[in-house]
Amino acid sequence: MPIRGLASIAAVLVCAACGGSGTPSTPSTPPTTTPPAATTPALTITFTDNPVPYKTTGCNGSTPQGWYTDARVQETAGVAFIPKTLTQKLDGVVADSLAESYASRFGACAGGMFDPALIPPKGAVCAVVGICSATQTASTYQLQISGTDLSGQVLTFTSPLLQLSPR
Amino acid sequence: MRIRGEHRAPRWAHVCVWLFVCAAIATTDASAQRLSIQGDRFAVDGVPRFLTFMTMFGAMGAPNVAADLHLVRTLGFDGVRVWPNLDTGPQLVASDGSLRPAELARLRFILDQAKLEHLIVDVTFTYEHTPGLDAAHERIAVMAAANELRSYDNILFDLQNERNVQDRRFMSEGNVASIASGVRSVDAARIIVASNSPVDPPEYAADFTARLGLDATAYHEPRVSNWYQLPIVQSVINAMRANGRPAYMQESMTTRDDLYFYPSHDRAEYFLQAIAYAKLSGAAGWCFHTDAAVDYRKGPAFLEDRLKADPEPEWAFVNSLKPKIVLQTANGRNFLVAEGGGGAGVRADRTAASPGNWGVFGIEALSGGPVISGDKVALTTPDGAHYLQATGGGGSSLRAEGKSVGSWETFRIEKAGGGVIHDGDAVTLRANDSPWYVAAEGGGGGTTNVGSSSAASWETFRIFFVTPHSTDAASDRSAGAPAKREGG
Repeated sequence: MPIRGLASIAAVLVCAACGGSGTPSTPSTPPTTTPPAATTPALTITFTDNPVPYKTTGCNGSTPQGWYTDARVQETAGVAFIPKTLTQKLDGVVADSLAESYASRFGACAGGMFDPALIPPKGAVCAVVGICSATQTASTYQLQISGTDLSGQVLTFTSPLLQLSPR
Repeated sequence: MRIRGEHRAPRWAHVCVWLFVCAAIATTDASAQRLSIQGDRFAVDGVPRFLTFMTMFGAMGAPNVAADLHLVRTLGFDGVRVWPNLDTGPQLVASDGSLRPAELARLRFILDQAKLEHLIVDVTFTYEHTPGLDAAHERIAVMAAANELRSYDNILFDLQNERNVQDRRFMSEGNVASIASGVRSVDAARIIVASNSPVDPPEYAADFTARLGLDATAYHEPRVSNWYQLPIVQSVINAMRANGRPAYMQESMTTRDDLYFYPSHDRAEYFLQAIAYAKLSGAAGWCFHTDAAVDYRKGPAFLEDRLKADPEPEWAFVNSLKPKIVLQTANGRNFLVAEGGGGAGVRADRTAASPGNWGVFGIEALSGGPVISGDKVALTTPDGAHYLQATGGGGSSLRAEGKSVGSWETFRIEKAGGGVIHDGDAVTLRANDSPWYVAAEGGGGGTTNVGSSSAASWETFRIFFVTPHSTDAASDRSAGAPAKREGG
């Protein structure tokens, strides 16, 4: 185990010992503690409809049929995230038919702002996601957003499975 | 007790009110449509433009004419053709040639609303609809109308509809000339025509127009089964243009008629081809001839409902005038997309399976009418608030940040061999008059620019219409270019 990992475990043990198990003799208000600031961005991805029904109208300009719903990507840790790539999967397999960039798929959520190069701390981005097709037979859709934090650490966030209802 | 006049507004307030009123009037006038003629073209506010009209013969009786005219403008028409003396009423002209005051006020209201909507109005007179009215008294009526309507820059007069038909519509050349000179004496600037029906050939209409010194040749095209096809349209318009005046295709085939049988009139396809070929052949204007707005005494009270009642050809045709398109890249897999729907960059990585409408653009020929190869066009983004823009006018990036149409937002659309831009055509987009073409780097799947000085595959896009469009075959489906349609 790396030294850094051992040190973390030791710190946790020491902390637990300090807490003790006895009841304090004099009741007092516990001291207010500020949780340590997060250093890593965290993205939570949600879908408006899940499962999403198959619709016969409105999917895109020339293929009206398909499964589509709104996706919201929310940064929750208060740390900026730099998105780089978008991967979209159908039934767990990367879909070549949905190979497109993060910048052309995602945009501002209602009333918000959008910077294709950054999801700000506590910020959110939105998109319509899914697949337009009259013939596709997939049953799940999933997206992944890869990027880095401001220090260059590579991170990937994966959405829940979006269930595509039978036609 | 109040002193008399105590709460009268101070003088400066009156001045402000008057300044506001004057400013409002000035604004209205400044934004009005001023119709003129430049050579063999109509011009609006000094800019030559192919004009697309729609018949609203019964506008005088339309209970919601303001809403109707707003709809007409919203759909993309440039003007309407109104018959103020139609026998469905109210009728403008009395049998003694006088103008009925209430009906004149009604006509003024229509023209005012049209002006607010930036619409041109073809005011066509039909003396046969007033029993007992003869040509001499019609002259009095039209001269009076010319006098009363002198302040309107957005109208033209047709002195008599189909004056060459040998029935109660007939008006001799001498009588037409007499009315024309009468109108000129009252309002020398009024644009006047007198329409001829296809009982005489277009050459006759052109000669007639020239002999009488009328401003444009108004002709109603032949009611033959192939009336909408290029050879017919072209031959008619060539004959009309021989006099050097604007060729105004004032009545296309009617969409329906209770009295007579007409061929090739029941699908929007015929009308879509006809208007496109009219523009291609050099016509100055073209009018969609529907009876949806003829007799408001029966049927729905709003034009929108009347048009919707006939999905073909009416509703399909009127929804074709502001086309929406997608642009497929050379790899056949990708489409242009405005990031965020507009207001940011433009990429070329939409796919056929991608949901959403950020790849759907509006396209407008700046010269009016359907899009023809060589036209300058503007492309609106899906957010409805931006235009595609060649940064710096070309030689740089393609953005979707234009807020209005200027030189950077103007592109010249071209296709090999020229002609009408059809669904599925391979086209290029060049930044205005520059040598710079829009390109999808790598043929699609990535970024875009306006930095190519020659047109090869990366600079070639398949254009697909997502609004009603002609299904006339694309004329240049060349080998090697993408042809599969899906997506946007």
